Parts: sequence; structure tokens; C-alpha cells
Amino acid sequence: MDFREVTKVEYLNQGDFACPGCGAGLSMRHALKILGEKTVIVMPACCWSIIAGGLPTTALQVPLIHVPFAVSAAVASGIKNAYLAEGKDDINVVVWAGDGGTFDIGLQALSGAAERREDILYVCYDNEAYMNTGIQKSSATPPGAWTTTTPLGNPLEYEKKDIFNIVVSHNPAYVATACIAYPDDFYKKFEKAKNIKGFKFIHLLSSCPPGWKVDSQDSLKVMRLAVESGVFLLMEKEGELETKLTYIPDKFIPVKEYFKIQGRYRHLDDEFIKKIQERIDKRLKKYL
Amino acid sequence: METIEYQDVVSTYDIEKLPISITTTEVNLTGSWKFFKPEFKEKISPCSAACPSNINIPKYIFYLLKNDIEKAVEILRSENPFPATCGRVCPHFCQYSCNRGEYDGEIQIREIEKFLGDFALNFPYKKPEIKLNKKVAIIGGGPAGLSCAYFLAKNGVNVTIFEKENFLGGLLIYGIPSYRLPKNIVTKEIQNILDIGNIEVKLNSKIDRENLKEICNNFDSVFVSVGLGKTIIPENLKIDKKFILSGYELLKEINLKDIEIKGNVAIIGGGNVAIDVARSVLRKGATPTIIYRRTINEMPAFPDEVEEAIEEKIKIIEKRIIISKKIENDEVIVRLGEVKNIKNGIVEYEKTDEILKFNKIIVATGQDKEFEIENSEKIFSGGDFEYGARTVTDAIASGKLNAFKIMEKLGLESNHYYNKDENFVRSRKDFDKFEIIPFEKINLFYFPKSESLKIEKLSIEERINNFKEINKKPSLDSILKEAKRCFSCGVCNLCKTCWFNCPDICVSVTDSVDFDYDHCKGCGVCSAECPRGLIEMVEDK
Repeated sequence: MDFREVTKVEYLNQGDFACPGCGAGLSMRHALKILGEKTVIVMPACCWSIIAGGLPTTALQVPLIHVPFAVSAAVASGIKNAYLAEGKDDINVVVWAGDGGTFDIGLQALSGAAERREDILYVCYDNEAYMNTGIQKSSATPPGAWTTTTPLGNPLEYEKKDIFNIVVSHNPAYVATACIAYPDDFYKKFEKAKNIKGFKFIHLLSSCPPGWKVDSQDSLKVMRLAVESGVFLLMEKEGELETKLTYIPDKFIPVKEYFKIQGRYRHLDDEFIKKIQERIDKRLKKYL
Repeated sequence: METIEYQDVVSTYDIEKLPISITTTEVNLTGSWKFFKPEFKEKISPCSAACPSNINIPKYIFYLLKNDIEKAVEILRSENPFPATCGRVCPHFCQYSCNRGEYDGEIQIREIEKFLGDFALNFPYKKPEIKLNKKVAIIGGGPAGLSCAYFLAKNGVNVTIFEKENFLGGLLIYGIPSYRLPKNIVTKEIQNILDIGNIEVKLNSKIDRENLKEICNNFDSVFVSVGLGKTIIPENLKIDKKFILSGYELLKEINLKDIEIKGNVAIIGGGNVAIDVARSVLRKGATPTIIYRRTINEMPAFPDEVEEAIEEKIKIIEKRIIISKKIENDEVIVRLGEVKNIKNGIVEYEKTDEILKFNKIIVATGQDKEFEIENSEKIFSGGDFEYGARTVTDAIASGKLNAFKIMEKLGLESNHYYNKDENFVRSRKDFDKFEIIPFEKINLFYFPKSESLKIEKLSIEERINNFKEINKKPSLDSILKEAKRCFSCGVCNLCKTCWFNCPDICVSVTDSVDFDYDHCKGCGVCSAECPRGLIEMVEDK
């Protein structure tokens, strides 16, 4: 991708409260570049509630509504329908929620909106724990990962919720996973989601340097390792079409490489990693 | 009940969309969070460090890709006035150290240089803006002398070149066969240099130890680059002059006088001259045989040349020397010995029964200086005369180095840059830090694998009976495609990767890369993501 051709217009202001190297901040910056000014962001409690700044300041140059944890998809549906009632059908109503507000608390509203075929885009930036409240485990936390509520590591018996397929089972217009470390893929998927009518869902992997215990400058590198090792698959499902991987590395690297640069996996022994690797291999077989 | 009046903080347009806060977070100076800050520092690419002329290769590739060929040529020629020549005959030291070589094949830098060099043939140089009252004599108008003249003349020094032949160019004209380097290319490049002005040429002026003194008195400084003019014929091969010649002498005859050579020709040696002679006499219709005392792999000639000679079915006899010779019926009959061991130049051999007949024997085992010069502060020397037989590029680089040394000596201001060991010379400083970017500093994610350019050559049948240039001219498209593969190690090509990946919009890329330190949180993503290792994180005090 030639970065020289990316639009210079920014809808994100400087001075937001994201931690240095935040993957969610960068994801928002580019998502808005693609979605443009006719966008309304609906945001449940999540890191971004803080990042966006306190009243009267805002980090976004588009309207942003902070809503309670459980209702984001419902509020977004309401806003969209209000616009439609006024005859404006060119406004992107976007839910921008963390993994806690998607995998755990907002799941019923998400399911409801998907079922009603609401014409909204639901973006879940998944940093794999409740980072903003102090790194507590969510149902997006992968096994093995340290959080403050799983000080010995998330048990192997638990498995990260397969949110992609949970949403796919509602048969929406578009479901995808993406990651800003793969800008080409990221831009294509948001572009697509912008232009498709119906319920759209994008699951973003979003690194969190303090929560994952990685050096802030390796923020993109760690996401890239997640994709190269097959921990996070870049894929999409459009309408009735089959699920397809949009990026397949020449050769998948061992998951150990991905774990190695993160402090949250430092305590894992080889046997544990081996079991995770088997789980990843098994999942890969399903898609390749 | 009182009605609540809202403050007018939003415009009517905003209300039409949805209420929106209008104060931005820009008031938060998040720059105060950082411990480290990014700094932009241009560095040195390994190709440029390996190039004897230290050409800023990534920079001219950048301008080529920007479609600013004039600027690309300017950068290329600011370090080397012979790009079309070097694009053909340089053994491309740059390509051996290209970082992409460790990945998916080095950039064919020489082909790009040749392309730009050919383009530059019709580009006159800018006239020097200054004319100084300093005179420098250059003895020998070969590549080293001409290069020295170019750098001096460009900086306003008056140069007089003394050349013993009746043409300029030296080895470029008579030492390198036309199938590698067409003569019109060299002549044109030399003419471009002379057109700069400030250069007087005295042809047919042979200088030796005696009249050198006189020149020393008349000039502010003297640069001697007369090459290696003395032929060495080993004692054991001394026979009638009719049968034996040195490699240089023969090349000169072929290149200047177009002489006839027929029959079997033995060539002794394994250097570039030996290979050039063999391939030239083959083209003249004779049958060459190279006799070399070591193995083919140990030949000092450029590997490409040896490979092409083998393709042309030139016979190479390895590990043999001539141990006896006699003349019979206008032919030299030689007996070969098998080399067992070579130690300190002494060859141990065993007699063999191999007897061969030749019409001519060519000795290409090296040349020597014709005269020594005395130590004097005024006299500088370069090229093969100073360093022994090396490449054209080395000669050009030594001309440049000495031009700067002379200017320094004459007290002229020069803005060139030496690194510590004086091996690195650029005619202007265009980097911030002397650091050669290693492969590990390249962010490979931004470089999908791609094949390097394949150079097309004339078929063997098409080339063995004429002196046509062997390497074909690649198309513009393939040159641009190859140029795009360049990692541009350590040299910014304004790719905007840093700008794209900054979560805080603190990088701006225009003609330069600048950081907004008021808001930069010091995360270092720009530094880690820069594909070419340009951004460094330094402590923020």
C-alpha cells in the first residue's frame, strides 16, 4: 500500500488520552479516514471513553455519544432509524466498543441489532481484557495471558470466545477481522463495510502496550506476530459467501515467537505453549 | 418552571447532525508524557559505502522514481563523472553489499546506473560559478586523471591535462574491448567533462621524471596518474618479439589499429586483461587458449567475465605453466608443466607430456610503473600508478579523493566529508550520521518478495564474431520496477510510513520529516516501523 496516497484529512485530534503506542488510537484514526465526516460514533464504556477526553473537549471531529455498557448496539440502531426517518440514509452509524462491551456486556444488544438487520457498523477493538479499569480478564482474554484477575494466567480450560462466528451465525451482511498492522487489508475491509447496507461487524485486534506488557514501539510488531503465528486470523464473510482468509503468511511462525515479546505470557512453560500451539493448528486446519 | 437555556457551544450545522463538543483535545500537551523522543537521522546505505566513489545510490533512485531524471543524474554525477562507463564495466561492489541480497536478490544497481548514465550523455554539466587563480597539472588523461580534472574544474580550479597519446581516455579507450564498453560512450563522457571549461588539454605530451620537475615549478599542484606503462615479460618467455606481446600492447593494437590476428594464440594469466585479450582475439577470428597457473575459481578476473569467456567456449588450461619453448616453422612450440604448489611467488611444478603449438604468445601477468616520483608536498598520485592494477571505478574514486586533497592543500574551501579512515568521500554532506545500515535494521514487512531484474545478453552466436556490446539495454519499465525494489537503506524516500503509523498524528512528511514534540507521547512506533532505519529514539531531557 502506498501511504502517499492515503488522505491527509484527519478526524482525530491530537492530545487524546491514549497510552503511548495504543493500537486502538491508531485504528480509530484510520477508520475515520475511511468512513469520513458523515459518521456518528456510539461508544459504550471502554478505553476509548477515556481516550476521547473529558467534556468539553473531544478527540473526534465527528459526533460521539457515550452510552452505558450494555446498550451500544441498541442506541446505534435508534440513531440510524431516526436518520432514516428524516430521510438521511448516508450517515454511517458506528459502534466503537472494546472487547468487554462486546464479548461480555454488550453481547445481547449486538445480537439483537444483528437479528433486526440494522444498517449499522459494529467495530470491536479487542485488546483482550478490561484494560482501562486496570487489566481485568474478559471473555476475550486468551488462555495463558496474565491479567490482574488471573495473576497465574488465564486457565487453559478457558477459550477466547469466537466472536467472529457468533456474529456470523446471525447471518449479517458483512463480518470481518482486521488489524491496523496490515493497513492494506484494514482499508479494504472498512471500505467494504462502509458501502454495504445491513449489519456489519469488524473485529479488530488492538494491541495494548501496558496490558500486554510490550514495549510501546513494538505495538504494531506484536499484532503482526499474532497474525503471522495464526493466533489472529485475518478473514471476512460477505453475505452468503463462504468465510475466507484475506491474508495467509508464506509460513506460519510458532506461537512461541508471539508470546516471547509479551510480558503477559512470560510465566508460561513449554508444555502450556505446546497445547496452545496444538489448538491454533487445529483451528488453522479448519480455514486453510 | 423555568426553561433551560443551553449555551451556544454548537453550530446549527452541528445540531443538524448531532450535538458535538467543539473544544478539541489539542489543548492537552501530551508531549510532556514522553521519556524518549524520535529524531530523524539520514544515514549511509551499504551500497554507497561499498562503492569506491561513494555515490548516494538510494538518493538517485529516489529521484528516478519521482520521475526527476535530471536531479537523479545530478546526484549520480556529483560523485562520478563516468556513470555510463561505470554502468558497463564496474564490477559492482555495491551489489555485493546490497541488503536486499540477503532477502530476495540484490538490486541490479549497475543497470540503473547505466540507464541514467546513457541518459546523462546528452546532459551538459552546469558551468562552474567561480574561477580561481589556481593551476593544477594532471599527468595522464585516463579515468583517474579525468576524474580529478572534473572535480577540480567544477570547483573553479584551472586544470591542464598532459596526455602522451593523441587522445584522452587512456585504458577506457584502448584497454577495454568495445563489446564491454563502446568507445563512443567514453568519448561523449569525456567531452562532457571538457565542456565544463577550466580544462586545457595537451596531447602527445609524454612526461617523465625529468620534465615533471619543470611542471612542478609552473603549477600550484600536480596530480600524477599515468597508470602502469611498463610491460613485464618473464625471463623464461623472452623470445623473438614477433611471437610475444604483452596483453596491454595487443589490446591497444586491436582497439586502435584494428590489426589482423589469426591462428592459435596462447594467453598467460588469469586477470581481466587475460580474459579481455582472449575474448578479443576470438572475435578477430583466432583461437585463444588461456594458460593459468591456478584454478579457474582463483582467477582474479571478474567472475562475470570468466563466466562469459567460458560460455564463448574459450579454452582455459588450469594449473599449468610454460616450462620450455622453441620456434619451428613460424610457430612457437611449448611444453607445459603441472603446477603443484605456489609459495611466495615460487612455482613448484612437474614436467608433463603436454606439447602445444601457438602462433603468438600473449603475456597478461601484469604491468609495472614506468618511473617513480619523488616525495613532494606538491605532487599527488592516484589511479593504477598509485595503487597497482585495480578497477576503473577505483581509479575514478582516487581522482576524486585527490582532487579534494589538492583543494584542501591549496586552501580552497570544500564542503566534502571525510569519515575517520578517509575512505568515505562525498562531494557534499547529505547525511546526519555516519552509520551504515545493516540488514537487521530493515523492516521487511514493507517489502514483499520480488525477483530481481534479469539482464538480457546477445546470444553466443551473435557475439563471437564482432565487437557489439553484449549486454542489451533493459526497458524503462524494467528499470523502474527494479528501482522500486530498492530498500533505500538509511536514506528517506518520503514513503510516509512514519506518518501513517503515528497514533498521535505527530509526524509530518513534506520535503522533510518533522515531529510535533508538543503532542508526541514518545511511543516509538515511527522508529520501529520506519522501513529503512532512519528514526532514532533518544532520551528526552
